[in-house]
Amino acid sequence: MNANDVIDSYVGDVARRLPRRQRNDVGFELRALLNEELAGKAEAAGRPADEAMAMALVREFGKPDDVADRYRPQSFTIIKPSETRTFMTMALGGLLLQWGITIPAMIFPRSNATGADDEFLLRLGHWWTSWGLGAFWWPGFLVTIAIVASWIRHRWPVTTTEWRPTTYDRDLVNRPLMVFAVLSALFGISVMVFLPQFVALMVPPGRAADVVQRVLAYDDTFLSQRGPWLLPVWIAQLALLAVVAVEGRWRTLTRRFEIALGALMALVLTWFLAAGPIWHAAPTDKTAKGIIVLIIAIIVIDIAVKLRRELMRLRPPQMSAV
Amino acid sequence: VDDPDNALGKAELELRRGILILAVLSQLRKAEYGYSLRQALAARGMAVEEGTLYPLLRRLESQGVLASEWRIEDGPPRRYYVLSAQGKQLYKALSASWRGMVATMDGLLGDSK
Repeated sequence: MNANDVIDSYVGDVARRLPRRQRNDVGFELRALLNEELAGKAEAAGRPADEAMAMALVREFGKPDDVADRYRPQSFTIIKPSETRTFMTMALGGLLLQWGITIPAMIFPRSNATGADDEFLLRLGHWWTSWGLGAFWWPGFLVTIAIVASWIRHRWPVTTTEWRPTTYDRDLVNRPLMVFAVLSALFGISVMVFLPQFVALMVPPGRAADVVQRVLAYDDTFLSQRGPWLLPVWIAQLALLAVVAVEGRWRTLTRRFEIALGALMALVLTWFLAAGPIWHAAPTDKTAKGIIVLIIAIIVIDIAVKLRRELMRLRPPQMSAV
Repeated sequence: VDDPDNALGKAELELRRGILILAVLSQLRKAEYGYSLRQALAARGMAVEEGTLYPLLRRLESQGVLASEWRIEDGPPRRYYVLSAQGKQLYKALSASWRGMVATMDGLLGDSK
């Protein structure tokens, strides 16, 4: 390979990465310029240009990818630096969430399988080719949305909206609303605790009442052993809301208590799900557990949002004494 | 943490990057092709890597700051660049800004002596 071949090959590699309309013109000019550079170097070295000299020149010029990027006019950014972390969190979080839900189902299948290793490997293979790889739809979906949003921003830039300070104080409590929330929660808890009595009160005695009583009857073991654990958590949550309503605003301490109690509630509910039936009737139990899963998911999201807000609060940095 | 030499190199690179466009515009009041422009800049103490300069010429042209044409003058065909009307205005404005900045920086650097 002689020096000209090196330059031709290099220019070809750069031109291939350029937009079609630029390719020929830029390629032709780049080759002419590199040849002049090479001739200059050969003259300075006092010997004819050779392959090594040409290689040194193009290596100094840059990798074809980078050079092509430098020739391209500035394009639009798909994900802005300020959005990168959020994007990564959403993409990876969604992926891991799907895997987190589907992997336990793969490891502990519903059917009473023997659990032999080869069956596990079969299940693993099936999981990977279905949910495992399938979960990648989420990052792909996010990238597609980001591309469309970015193109719209680039095509029709918003020039009218200006930043305005927000006056919304998240820590301020709407007292009437808070009192209403506490009373509603009290009512809801009472209904749950005294469900049989509540049904008897609401449904006139008769066959229908009997059916409803049977359908909504708690499992005896749950009622005597697990259910009572919910009461202290509820009481603590209600007491916290009452304190906040009296104080008129959330403080760091009350916020942290709120997060901790939320986490405790999620743990207790998860335990309920795993420990056995909650309702005596199987269909009721199945439906209610589905709802409890949803409630746990909401609590976890709520905790994540509140934790994030707590972490994003501006705190005074450590000061050194003067 | 960067070592001092590396930090100096990076800071100097940023500084030169900021003034590169003005340096290029200053030499393109008369038509030059890429290689001759690089030589002209280097001769005046402003060495620019070819991999930086040549793409920059294209980008400035696409922004309407430079005009260009292929010519054959005692050698192979070369693409010559020169300031466009918009480029002349930009050069004038940037020169004024630069002089203002130099005066400001002189004041700042003088204060720190």
